[in-house]
Amino acid sequence: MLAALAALRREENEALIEVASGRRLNAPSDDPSAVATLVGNHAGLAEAEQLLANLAAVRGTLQVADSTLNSAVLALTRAITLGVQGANGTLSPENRQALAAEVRGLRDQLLTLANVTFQGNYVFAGTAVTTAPFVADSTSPAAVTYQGNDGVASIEVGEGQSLPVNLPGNRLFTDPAADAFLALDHLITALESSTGIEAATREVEAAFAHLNTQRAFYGTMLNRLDMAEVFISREKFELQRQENALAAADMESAASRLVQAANARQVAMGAAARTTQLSLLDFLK
Amino acid sequence: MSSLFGSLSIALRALLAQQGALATTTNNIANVNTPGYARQRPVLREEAPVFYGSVLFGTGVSLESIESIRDRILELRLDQETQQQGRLEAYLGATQQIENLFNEAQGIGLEGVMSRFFASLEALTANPTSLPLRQAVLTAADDLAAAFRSAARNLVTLQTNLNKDIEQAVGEVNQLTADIAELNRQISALEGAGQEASALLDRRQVLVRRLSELIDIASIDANGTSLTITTTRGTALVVAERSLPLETASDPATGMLRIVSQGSDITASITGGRIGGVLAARDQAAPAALADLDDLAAALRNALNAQHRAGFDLTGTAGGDLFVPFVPSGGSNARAAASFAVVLTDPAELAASSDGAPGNNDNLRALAALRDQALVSGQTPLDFYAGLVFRVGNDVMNASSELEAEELILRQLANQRSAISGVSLDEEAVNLLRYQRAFEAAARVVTAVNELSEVAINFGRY
Repeated sequence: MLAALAALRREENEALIEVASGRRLNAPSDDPSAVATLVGNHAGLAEAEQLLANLAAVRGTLQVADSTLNSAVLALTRAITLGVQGANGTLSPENRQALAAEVRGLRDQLLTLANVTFQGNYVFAGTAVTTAPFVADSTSPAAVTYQGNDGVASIEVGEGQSLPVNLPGNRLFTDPAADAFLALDHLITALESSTGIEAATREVEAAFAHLNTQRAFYGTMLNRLDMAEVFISREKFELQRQENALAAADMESAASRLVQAANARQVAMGAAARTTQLSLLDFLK
Repeated sequence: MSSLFGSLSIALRALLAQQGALATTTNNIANVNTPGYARQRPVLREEAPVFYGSVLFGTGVSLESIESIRDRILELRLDQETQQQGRLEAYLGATQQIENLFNEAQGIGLEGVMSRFFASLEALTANPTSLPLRQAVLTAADDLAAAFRSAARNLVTLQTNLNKDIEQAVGEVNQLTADIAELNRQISALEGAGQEASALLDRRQVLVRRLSELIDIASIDANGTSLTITTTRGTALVVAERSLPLETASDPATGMLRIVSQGSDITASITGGRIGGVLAARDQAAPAALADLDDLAAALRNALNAQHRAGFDLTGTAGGDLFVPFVPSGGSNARAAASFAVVLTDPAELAASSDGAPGNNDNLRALAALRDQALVSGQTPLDFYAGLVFRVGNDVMNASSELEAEELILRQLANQRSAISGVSLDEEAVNLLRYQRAFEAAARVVTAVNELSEVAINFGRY
């Protein structure tokens, strides 16, 4: 009888733990395969969290690059305007010198923009991010040399997919087909010498068009980032749902088991109390 | 004799017999709560009748013997099931401690540190030159190594504690076998002198039951008085009046205790009782978990090191070892977990790049990708670890249900034993009544015979 009471008390305790903790799984032995699945689940959640954090970090880099290029495009637009002005036959050489000086200023501005940094890294240096990619170089025809590299870094965005996070500076600013620095240099020379201004201006237009086209990369990447974020968030939600399904207590069943076990124990104890009272010896005088 | 004095002596014998029966009943009532007590029954026998002329006269009753009601088969079954229960209880207790080390249901174990390590690598891929992020990788690697070391250490500590358990249990076994041998001696002496040794038999049964809790035994009742006890695989523990004590000896190779009887190692042959359960946990469950841990540690250390060496650090130097390299010895990965440690200290030396450019993160991505590669027994590290958690939990779950079933069987057997050998106060109350009345009646006969003898003596008086 004592053993039976002990067994009932054990059942009651188990139900009580489940109700109090709200969890069905408190140890691997409660459901070994469910807990093994939970291990994978937790790992998946940790990975998803980190991927989301990375996406947020990279968003910063991409946005800085994009807005810098925006300024670069504006600078080139101004240079084109100056070039068109300079091609006007009514201007004097002195006027053209003034224009050339402004274009020089624009070239310096472009150099600064091309050497922009974010969190201590040069954005347009390829993967040689610890040294400035563009340096003024009087020996170079463009007066500027690229000392970055062609490297493109990528990050994981889930499902084995990766997202490139940078464009090398030479592809943007010193591409052989449309070299922005070279074009600006030519425009400066043309304005100072009052010859070939139209040709030079068209070079700058070409560079401007090229930069605009390349810029689309950043817009595309930012979009992919958004999509990846949505996808991973959904995965995270799914994992959390699975965790609940596996680990959470079924409150109704646990509560009813608790009540049943408590009742059964009370009844058993009452019966035990009664039977131990009766003995023939009480009736014999 | 068909005489008055004959009747007197019959009445006297009746008084003695009923007195004896009463004493037996009293003994039963007194021992109602004594564990292991088997109720006694007075065996009353009719005395041999005698002829008087052509008439057969009865000669009364005598108390032939006092019999203990005991079912030998039931006691044997109780012994056997007690062995199982002892084994399962001990095994469950030990394996639950292993389970506590890997209780991923409450977030305890290695999944967290492994995930955080790979996450730190992943975080660095977004900004490979960041010194704080690099330091975070080294810190996470340190935590990872420390967690493995700690788990290995805990498993070894468990084995050491189980060793102490065994030592203590062996001591108890020796004490019990010595006591049983002594009881054997006392019982044969008493029964040799023609007396009942019920109390001693009861006591011996209690000791045998306690012995069953500790170790698996087979008992042989050779000639009805002396109990020979051996382990189920045949090692003698008690032979008649001699007990053969067990000894423990430390195995120099492993530091684990071996159990020795008369010079030969019987550790592998003990399969039941608490000692059997503890041995199973110490020599199978714990080493299996430790071996899995070592396999995982060895795979992680070597794979991560190999990939790290393929890369370049912040200054463009080729990567060295990230963790202390592991060299398996003796055909197994023993101590891979216990010696897991980070050897790289300078965050700038973390080999993130695959071509020397500081902004290149390809080697980092390859390191992070190791998480999803089949590094251990054809499984990814986390799948393999999940398998370990499953095996440990499954072990505990099985032992637990077996124990529950075993306890049910024991309860039923105990109830059966109670029904046969237990004292029922109601029954004894009725017996009390019977023997009391019989005694009174016999005493009444004495009074009647006394009066009649007086009449007979005074026959020729008047």
